[in-house]
Amino acid sequence: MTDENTPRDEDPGNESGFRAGRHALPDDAPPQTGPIPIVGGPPPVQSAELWKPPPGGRHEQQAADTSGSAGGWNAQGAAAPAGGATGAGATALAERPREEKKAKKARLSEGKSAERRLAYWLIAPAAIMMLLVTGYPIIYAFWLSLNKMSLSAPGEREFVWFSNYGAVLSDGYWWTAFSVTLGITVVSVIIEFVLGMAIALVMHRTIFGRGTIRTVVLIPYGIVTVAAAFSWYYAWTPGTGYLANLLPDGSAPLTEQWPSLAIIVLAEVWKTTPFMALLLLAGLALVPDDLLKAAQVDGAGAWTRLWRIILPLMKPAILVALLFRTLDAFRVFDNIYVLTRGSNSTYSVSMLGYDNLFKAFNLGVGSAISILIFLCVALIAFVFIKGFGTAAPGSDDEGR
Amino acid sequence: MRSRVSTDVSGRPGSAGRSGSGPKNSRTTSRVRRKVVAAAVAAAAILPVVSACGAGYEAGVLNFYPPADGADTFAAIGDKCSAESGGAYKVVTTPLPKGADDQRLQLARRLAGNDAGLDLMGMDVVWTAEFADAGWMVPVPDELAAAVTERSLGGPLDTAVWKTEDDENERLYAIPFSTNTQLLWYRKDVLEDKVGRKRPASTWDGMLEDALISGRNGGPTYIMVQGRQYEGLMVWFNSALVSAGGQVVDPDDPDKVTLNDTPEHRAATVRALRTLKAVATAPGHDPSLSNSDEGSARLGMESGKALYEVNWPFVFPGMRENAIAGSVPFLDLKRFANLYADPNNPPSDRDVIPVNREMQKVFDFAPYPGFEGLPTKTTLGGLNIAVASTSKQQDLAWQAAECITNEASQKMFSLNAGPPPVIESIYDDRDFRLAYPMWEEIKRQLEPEHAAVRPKSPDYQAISTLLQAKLSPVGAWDPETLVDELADAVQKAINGEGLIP
Repeated sequence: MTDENTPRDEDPGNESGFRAGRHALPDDAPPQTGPIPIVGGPPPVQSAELWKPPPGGRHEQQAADTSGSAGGWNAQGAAAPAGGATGAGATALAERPREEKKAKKARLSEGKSAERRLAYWLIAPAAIMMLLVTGYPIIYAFWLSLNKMSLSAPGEREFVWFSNYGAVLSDGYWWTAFSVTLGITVVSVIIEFVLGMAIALVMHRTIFGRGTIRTVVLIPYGIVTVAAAFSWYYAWTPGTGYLANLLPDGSAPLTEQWPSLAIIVLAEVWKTTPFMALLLLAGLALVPDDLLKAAQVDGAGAWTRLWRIILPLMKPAILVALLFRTLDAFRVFDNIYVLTRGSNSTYSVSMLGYDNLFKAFNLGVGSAISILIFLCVALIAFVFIKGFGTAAPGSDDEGR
Repeated sequence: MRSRVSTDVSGRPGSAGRSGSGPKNSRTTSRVRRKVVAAAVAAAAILPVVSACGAGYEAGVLNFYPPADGADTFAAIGDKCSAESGGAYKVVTTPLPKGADDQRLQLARRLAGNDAGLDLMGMDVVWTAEFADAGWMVPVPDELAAAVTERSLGGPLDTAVWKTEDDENERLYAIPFSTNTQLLWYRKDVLEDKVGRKRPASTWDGMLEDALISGRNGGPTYIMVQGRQYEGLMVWFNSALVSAGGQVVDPDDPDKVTLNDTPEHRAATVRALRTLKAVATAPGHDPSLSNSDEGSARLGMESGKALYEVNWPFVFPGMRENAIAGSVPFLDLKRFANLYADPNNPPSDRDVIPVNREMQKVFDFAPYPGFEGLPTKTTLGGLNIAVASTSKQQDLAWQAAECITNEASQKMFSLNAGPPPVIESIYDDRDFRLAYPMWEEIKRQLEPEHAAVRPKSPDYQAISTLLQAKLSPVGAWDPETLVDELADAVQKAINGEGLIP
């Protein structure tokens, strides 16, 4: 107990003043002046020195046990309620961007707005080019999806409004593909996140051979997906594969729905976990060591530190990693194309779109499927950014 | 051709740059020059790309796109014809992908993009209606069509005939080049020892019975078919359906589904489905039947587990090769290995006669099975040669097509690359008969009364894909209810409604 109290006793003068400013700031208080720490960025030296981990549940219990044993203890207990029991560090950081926004608005002078106008002119060519390159195909695909049209019937076109969408959404094949895709997405992203986080933590803490380990972990991501998928395909084919030979005689896992889906998820996870780990590693670098040390000193175990400090602080990086992977996983195509060609009801929505466009030559229905995939992807992105709140990259409150 | 275009483009910026460098006003000049250079760079970057895809063709050069299988032989045939033309044309052969879907897609993309550099196309027999209706291929000129009709076997010829909306009568849209038909392959030794029969069954029911008896006496019981969800399943179903007296669509009206329109048609479809189900669920059936294709059927036979197999003739040389290598348990032909010792000097068909004779004691062929009291009809495969409507040299292309499909070329192709020819007289050729011990059975099945053409419809791809999806996994359905589901699926495909899986 005395050990834990030592750091607090070192700065008794600062304690009440600073902490009150952060946690008990009155609503009408003037915005903080001076450099404003950026969410996720390296905190200024000053705050890192002064910051104290808030009391967790365990602390408070200990405080109750030894009430009155140290003078500083009660002061902290009084200051803490603003943070509550849910990692006050994150709450405190999340409060700052709002203040910064107010300050920015006030500071926008005449010169600044002229500068901004110039900036818009400078990015205009790039933006227009992007619109042409991405906007035109999207609008054209949308137009195609409103028509009954076939590649093998040139010149025959009939405007049918949204009946292609009706045809897709009322068809069992779409819903099979949709549930298969959703299943693959959810399962593979969860596994990738857990594994990726573990690998990132290991890579972050590695003392020797850092470069080598990071390179080795990245190898699966460096292999072309189709090539990797073929090696999985042969590994699981009886007769040619070392993995299929481990199974009981006569079993061909790629010929049944559930084993095929499991192998598809395995191939996806094997391939993209390094990507996840790399993104999370970048996020881990944003968690200040001092913070972790301080938490440790306050008695937070490894698990508590992960849940209360590392994960909340990594929120932007986690959002980016999960968003990227979810969108990628939802559009899964190459692994399935190589492993099963979509047989035994293992086709994804992308494969369904491909088959209807390039096998049936049905431009209307195929485009409708593409647009529906686009809408699903947009919805996923929206849900993610809303769900993660202010930490979303690109949102106004991002803190940049 | 591409390089020529790009030199044209790269020649332009040079001259433009020179004209812009006037000495008078250095500031304007430099700005002008910068603009000219920028424009030239942009043009140089974009133009070769644009001109490379399409538009370009060279007089006298005919681009021929055959399938990847047998590409070397196609190239040799092309060269031979170029040489024979005396400089009138030069055939440049570019192989398409291996898969039929990929071939069709690449041709369709070129045709939809108006590729003037596409002259001759190697066409799968099932694409005729679709490509003709799309206006992607031109009908065979009357004189040539008459000659081709005269010399070709009826079954393969029928695959190249179609009537578009603008045609008054059916006409020839492509020249049949090679064909293919499945045979029944069986274990002669097992049939004699375990079943007690000299001759193989001629019906599916008879095969099932033989397999049962063989199993009872400890012999192999598998009947190898193509049951995976792919075109091979459609081939199997179509053979059974047409042999039972049914049809997927009306040959005279491709928009009319004839799977269940009359009681007779319905009964025929049910009979075909019952047979598929019986083969897939018989005691001692191949456990991976619902995932089997031509390759796995062949390997199953070679492993000794099967009594019967329906497959294309390629299994015959395949079995021979593996038996000589010593990997066929019931057939040891290693003593002939010295014939094959030199890979650069393979044995002639005459040298192989004793090997074949030895092999046919245990592994022999018979006509494709059917139904009691009905003529058996077998689905045709094969390749037709067509002239693309985007070609700028169609007359020349027809000249080349005539040469590419003539008797000498077809014989060369069937001897080198495999599939049998369509010209009737080749079946009397001694060399051909030596290479094809099963020529008699094949020729018989290519006659119109024994050939089953897959549904002729511009929507064949969708029809086939949907039927495969409904039929797979084989046997996991009730024939009576599946009939109506199949009919609905085909109707949907014809109407262009709904999705394909």
